[in-house]
Amino acid sequence: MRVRHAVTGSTSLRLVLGIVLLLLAAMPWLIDPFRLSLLAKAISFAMFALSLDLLWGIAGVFSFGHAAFFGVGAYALALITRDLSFPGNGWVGLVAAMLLPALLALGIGYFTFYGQVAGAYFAIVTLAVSLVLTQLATTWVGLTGGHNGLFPVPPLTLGIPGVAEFTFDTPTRIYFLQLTLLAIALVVSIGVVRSRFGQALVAMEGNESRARFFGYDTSALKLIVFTISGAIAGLAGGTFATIEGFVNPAVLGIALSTQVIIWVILGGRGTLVGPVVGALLVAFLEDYLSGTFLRVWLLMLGALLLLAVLFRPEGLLGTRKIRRLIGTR
Amino acid sequence: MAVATAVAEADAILAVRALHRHFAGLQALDGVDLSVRPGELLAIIGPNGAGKSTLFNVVTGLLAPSSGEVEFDGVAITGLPPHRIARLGIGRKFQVPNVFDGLSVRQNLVVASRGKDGLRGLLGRDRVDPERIREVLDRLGLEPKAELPAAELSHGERQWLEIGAVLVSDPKLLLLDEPTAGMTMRETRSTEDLLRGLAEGHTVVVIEHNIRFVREVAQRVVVMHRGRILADGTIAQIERDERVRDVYLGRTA
Repeated sequence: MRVRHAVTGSTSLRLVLGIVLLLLAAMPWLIDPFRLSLLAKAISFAMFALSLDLLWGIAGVFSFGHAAFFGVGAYALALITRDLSFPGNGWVGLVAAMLLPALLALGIGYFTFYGQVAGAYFAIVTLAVSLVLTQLATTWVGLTGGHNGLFPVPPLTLGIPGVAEFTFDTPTRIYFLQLTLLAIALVVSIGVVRSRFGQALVAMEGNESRARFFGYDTSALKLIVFTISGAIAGLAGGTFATIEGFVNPAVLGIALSTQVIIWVILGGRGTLVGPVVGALLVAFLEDYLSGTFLRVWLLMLGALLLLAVLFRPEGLLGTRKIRRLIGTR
Repeated sequence: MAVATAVAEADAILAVRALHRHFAGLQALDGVDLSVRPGELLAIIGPNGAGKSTLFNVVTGLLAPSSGEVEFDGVAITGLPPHRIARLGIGRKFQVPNVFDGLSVRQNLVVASRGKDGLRGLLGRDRVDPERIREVLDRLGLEPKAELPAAELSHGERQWLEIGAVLVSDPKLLLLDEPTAGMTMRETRSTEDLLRGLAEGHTVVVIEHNIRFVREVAQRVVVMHRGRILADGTIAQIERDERVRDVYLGRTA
């Protein structure tokens, strides 16, 4: 009975997944180029939400300044692709957008996790880092352009440098690049969660002190997952910078750090796919509501979020089936 | 007497010397000396606040002692972090059942047994021995429920699962904090059998309030009171001890 249920469950899931993939692939022919580029940008937010969920939903480490990593990724890619126009700068930009935030996470994580800073105190540290970096980006005008930011951030050029280069300069191209990167980020994240390492993270999230007394160095586990999360957040920020064509200190700030928490909660903390859907849904609602209800749309969005949290606290996709699919149940 | 202690300490698996730990004016441990011999099943009893759990917390590295030292299997472990001490071979069972609710019964044991392998066991080759997992499931009587989420077990079964999870990596020393807390009579009986089985080939230190249980399983009983060791001997000796009676009757010793 249990077995049959699981099988039918996974068949219908596969069907849903197939339809979703088909729909996503057909998007450029279903919506206009402006909406398509909005969707492409929303995919950056989806990757960002995914990065926080890996850290908070899976490993139980709550970051309240996660935009720090998104923003460092955004600035890294913008500076490299805007100011250095050598062949292959797109690849270097993407790698830097992941590497720098990962190193930042590694540094912060080393001192906090091994200093036994945890829970709310860790969240406050991340918040402080995000505020310091926002301040730095505002005042270090020579590097960051200050309040005015950096622009234009050119479209990404990837491919084989000097041989077969390819520039992502139309909404359709950007959209498919984004879809590919999101798919990679999701596959990597799900792979992490389903691995032995991921199982240890899930155990740690459930009961950290128990895990420590079994011999797990939970500081090391947190440090690794924080670094991976920082890299994914940075990739999200980097892609956002190239799509927006513009970066300013807001990409590092408290508003974005708060929004990403909302996407994760709305979609379903600890489900990986949930936060992705949460970010896309909020982007869609913002676009739809702001067009239709010019004055009150922000209020309506707030009310919707409140209702969702009250009536579905586990999140839209916070079901057992999804958890089993990604391997946390 | 002094000679006997010296001999006992020479082959002790756990030696605690002049251990002090205070919290803002409270002497939770006030000079504890204790040696545990290999293969022994030792029960620690004492009124609430006697320092029993603090002693476990210091031995397992959760708390650093204010002064004094702890030696395990010939290695000084004072001040080491909990995971290092666990990997040296000290297993600990908490008072309330601590299992991973999100994982199945079998996964609980698998995750528990991987702890000692460190990151190599997570990122490199998997060192879990499935035969050992089966063996422990069998011993706990939880084989039929192996694939159920741990959250669906009864309170007693959760206690056993945690004992099994501590046992699975075959620690040299097992510290059990009130393993029968909240158990029914029948569950307590099964736990007695489980503990007697464990005692063969393991060194076990158990904190327990249930005197009947202590009488059934313990070879040696240590009574703690106000951060010190008040009495140490067989259950018969302890039950005859006037000072112990005073403590349990609420008179100050």
